[in-house]
Amino acid sequence: MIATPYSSAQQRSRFVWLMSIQAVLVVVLLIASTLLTFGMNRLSARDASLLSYRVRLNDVHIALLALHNNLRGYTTTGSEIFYDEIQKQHAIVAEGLDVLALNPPDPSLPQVVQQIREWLTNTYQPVLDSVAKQDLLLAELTLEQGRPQIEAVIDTTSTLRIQLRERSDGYRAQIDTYNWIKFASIGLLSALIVVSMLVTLRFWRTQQHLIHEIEDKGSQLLQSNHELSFNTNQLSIINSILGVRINESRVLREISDYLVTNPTPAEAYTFVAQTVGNVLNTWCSIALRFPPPREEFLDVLASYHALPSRQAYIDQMVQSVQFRIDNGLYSPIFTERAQVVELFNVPAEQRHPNYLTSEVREHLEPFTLYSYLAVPIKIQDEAVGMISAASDSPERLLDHDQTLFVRQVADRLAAWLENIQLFYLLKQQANELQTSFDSIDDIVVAYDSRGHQTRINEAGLQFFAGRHFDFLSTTLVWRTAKGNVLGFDEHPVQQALAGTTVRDVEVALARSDGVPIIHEVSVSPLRSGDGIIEGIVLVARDLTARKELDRLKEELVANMSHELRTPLTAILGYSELLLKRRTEVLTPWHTTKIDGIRTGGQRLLSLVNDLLDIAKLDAGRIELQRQTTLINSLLEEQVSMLQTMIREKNQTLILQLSDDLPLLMIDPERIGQAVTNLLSNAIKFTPEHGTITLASAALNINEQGQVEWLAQALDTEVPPMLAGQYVLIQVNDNGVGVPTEALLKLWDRFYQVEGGSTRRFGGTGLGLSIVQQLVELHGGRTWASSAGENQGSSFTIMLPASRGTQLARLNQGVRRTILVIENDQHLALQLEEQLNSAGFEVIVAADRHSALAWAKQHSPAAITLDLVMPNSESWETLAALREIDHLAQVPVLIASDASLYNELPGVGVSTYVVKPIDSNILIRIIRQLLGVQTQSGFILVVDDDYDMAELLCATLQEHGYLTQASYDGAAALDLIQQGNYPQLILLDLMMPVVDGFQLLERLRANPETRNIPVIIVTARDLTNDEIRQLRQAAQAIQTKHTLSMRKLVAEVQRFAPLKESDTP
Amino acid sequence: MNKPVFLLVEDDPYNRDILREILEDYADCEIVETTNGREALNWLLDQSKLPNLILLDMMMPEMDGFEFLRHLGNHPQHDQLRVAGVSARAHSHDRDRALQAGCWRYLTKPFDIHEIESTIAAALTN
Repeated sequence: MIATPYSSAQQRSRFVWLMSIQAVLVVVLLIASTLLTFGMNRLSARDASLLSYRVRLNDVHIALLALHNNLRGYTTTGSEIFYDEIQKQHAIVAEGLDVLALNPPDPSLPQVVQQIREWLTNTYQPVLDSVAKQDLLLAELTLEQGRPQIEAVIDTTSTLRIQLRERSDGYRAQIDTYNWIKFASIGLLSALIVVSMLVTLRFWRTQQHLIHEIEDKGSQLLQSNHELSFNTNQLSIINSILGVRINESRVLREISDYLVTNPTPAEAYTFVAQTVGNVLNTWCSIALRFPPPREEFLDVLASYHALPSRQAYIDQMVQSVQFRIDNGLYSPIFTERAQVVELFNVPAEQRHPNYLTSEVREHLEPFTLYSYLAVPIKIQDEAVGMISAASDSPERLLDHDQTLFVRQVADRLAAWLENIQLFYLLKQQANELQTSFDSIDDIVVAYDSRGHQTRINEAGLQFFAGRHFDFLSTTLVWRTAKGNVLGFDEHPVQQALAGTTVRDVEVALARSDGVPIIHEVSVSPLRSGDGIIEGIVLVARDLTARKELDRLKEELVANMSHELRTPLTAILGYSELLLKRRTEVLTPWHTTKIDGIRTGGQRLLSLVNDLLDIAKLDAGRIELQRQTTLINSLLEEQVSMLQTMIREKNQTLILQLSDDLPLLMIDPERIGQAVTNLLSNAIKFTPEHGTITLASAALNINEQGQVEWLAQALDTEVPPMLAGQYVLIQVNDNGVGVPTEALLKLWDRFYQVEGGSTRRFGGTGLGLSIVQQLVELHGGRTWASSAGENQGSSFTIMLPASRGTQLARLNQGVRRTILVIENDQHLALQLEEQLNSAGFEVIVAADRHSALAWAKQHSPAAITLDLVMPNSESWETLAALREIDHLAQVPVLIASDASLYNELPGVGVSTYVVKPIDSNILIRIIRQLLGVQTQSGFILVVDDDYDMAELLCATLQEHGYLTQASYDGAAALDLIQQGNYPQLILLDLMMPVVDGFQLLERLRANPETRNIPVIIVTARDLTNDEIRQLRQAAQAIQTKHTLSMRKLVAEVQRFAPLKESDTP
Repeated sequence: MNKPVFLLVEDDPYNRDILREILEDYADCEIVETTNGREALNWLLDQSKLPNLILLDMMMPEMDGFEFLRHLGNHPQHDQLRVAGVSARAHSHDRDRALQAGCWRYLTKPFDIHEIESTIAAALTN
């Protein structure tokens, strides 16, 4: 372009004019441009800040929605899954609030922030706290209360968002206006440039600089214009993304809301698939793995396409394909534990899924996979299924944001699924359990650790007839089959709660009509996964039928044995008769044959006897008649009965009896039988002129299981036993011995070391089995040892020593006076002398009348009664003595002939001594009998609740105490005033007539009883004044609500310690 | 001096026979044999004289030993009657039961001749 030349002046004036116009224009444009730039910058800055607040507000808004939703989920399920989400959302809210509080672009923002913070304080935090305390109900209530508040907040944020958007729109409108002006100014500038160029052509050199300047400005303007429009574009993109996100968050909320309405699984899957499909505008399907054994396959539970026209293909495919977890685009989820499978642009070769058969593929030709994503549904970190979305349109490609959305859906579905699975599983298990429970005839009851019944079966319901069988209340009192109350420590429930399984305890459970029915009860602890005892389960089997069966069996055996004995009586009787007269009528030939008949008959008889014993032992119907027994006397008796046999074989029997053995509480008849059995075996298996040794010894096993011999030590291995004192009886012989491998089998029924031994030595093969069972019935053990064949053998019986059993009741009257009823003056004098020297005072009564006359006026510590024969007079004396009230509990010793031993009754007699009386034994027995009163503690239990009193007594007895129960204060007072000073009193406060307070007052007023320790055991809620008052008078206070037997026993032991026995 | 009289109450003929033999061996005596409690009672009620000892089987048909002892309680001179129970039941509680029912002694089957003889001796001396 060539400029037209102008005249200089003209040009100059023109130029000046132009230049001035130009200058004016330039100035105007410069000002305008500066103003515009400044204005736009401000607007942009404002808009940008507004935008950041909007984004933040949106975040907070969405987070609040999600937070509230998750809180609802959390309060409904208590699931950790929700809690994590809550933490996440809360962090977003908290961060957002901090930002929103700084330089808010809108005056209402601080108010919103304040509102949200209030909600967080008033509702959110209490809800979390409640759930943490597992009080879901309270959490729900709190959440419900906070609902108006959060709705108001959400409304406000919504409104504010709209306001902010409007403002933003306003800004953009203004920016648009500015833009327009800018365009205008650019047009103007362009014109100016044209003019300038014309001028510049002429005044190129002088004006070149100016033109450049103007051009620069123009290009700058253009650039800012570009930037502006770019900003605007971005803004609208962000806006649309925000819209999508808000939509997704709404959908998530909808899904959450739907899932808490307890839909059926099918409904839930369909809903979720539809919702996700619609949001993504694609095909969405939900599949779970089949339960085993088909866990390799996926079960497509819902499949939905946003385009209804495609639905048919999809349905067709789902029906016709078996989806393996390891074959398909989704397989990394299951095979590699992938968190996600994203194929947003499916390669052309994969567009037709290869897991489809060609037939299906053909059929599904219209379906072409362009974009695919799948996320796992995870329960406990294991992919149990997946949600997949597939797009069959190149226009709708999926992206990562959508993956994130689907993953959130999958998480919610997983949480719900876990709950519902657990729920169905529990329900099913509960049903199965209850069904199997109910089909059992035994009573099955489960309790939690606080004693609440948690489960009971049909048999239990029927037995207890709806009575709540609460073991922590009165039913804690259980009686054994014989009617004794079980003590606390041996109580199966307590043992189970302490972690021990107790099996097959026979107790009488009261049926709904009050009738006690003998049950075999087993109680086991129920442990949680980490081993904590959460409760117990109790199984009780009605033994009525079995008892009846046992009884019938025993009756049968008893009858059979009777029937067998009758003909045996004839066989043995006639042989005896014949043998007795052999010199008169029989030849030696006859004698040997008849002797054969007698021997055979006797063996048959012992077999019958043994069988009867075995049957009784099996039926558990041998009842031990325990009495205090001096074992050495018993052993001597057995030996004397076998003397004939020993003499016949010219054997030597050596007695090695230890002195000072502890007393035994045993059935002398049964232990005697066991010893006789061992002895006769020894005689049988020891050759003529052999030696048999019978030894007795005692030992102590301490808590560490170490054995300490108390007197002489026996050469034997003592098996592990509970700590305590034991008495050992050992029979040694130097006979045929026992091979090592037979030592244990010896005790089996019908076991014989060698096949021929029965014939050679006689015997039924039942003897040792009976010995073992009898000893075990006493809580003892048996064992055998042998150095080898023909080296002899050794059989040992080990019996627990009696510990503080109730030999005698306390009677303080005239202490240590012995009434000796003895008509033999010589013997009486001798006894008096010996007892005197042992420190006893002795009163001798020569006959019944003088004895009774004296005894009525005095209280002897013990009575000895001579029994020449079990004739009526002696028994009458005993009975008459027992009828005198204050003598009812005084120990009575019967001195009698060993030959009469079996004739003696067990009733009313404390123990027997065998004549001729060994004064040392007598003194020892008397000391032991009396010793119990002073050496072991005597505890008085005063409680009007009969069961409670018995429970306390039984428990204390287990710990070696003597106990006496009084059921009201007056009776207790009477007992004490008679001189029975207990070592300690357990006292209930609430009793009729004389209550605990009064009793305590009376005790403390009397100098003799002032120092008896008292432990209060009460169900009463004590006032502070009462506690203060009682603390001064009593040693300890235990309330029944929180009664711990162990603690109580510990306190009793503290205030009334048991002394070591002073006799060895 | 009159011959001592023994009343045998026993259903089993062989056992009865053995008891009779033992008694006869021991003393020159009169032995009355009955096979159950009823027969024995009838005999006792017909008699003016009392037997020195009744040997009573506890288990018999028709009327057993226990029932016999209950009826015997009504006998005008029952406190002068001595009954030795005889039974195949050898356990101590069977013995206790018999003694409680009124037996003076208790003998178990099969017989121990010495035991029976000492019982006879005791009955005759007292």
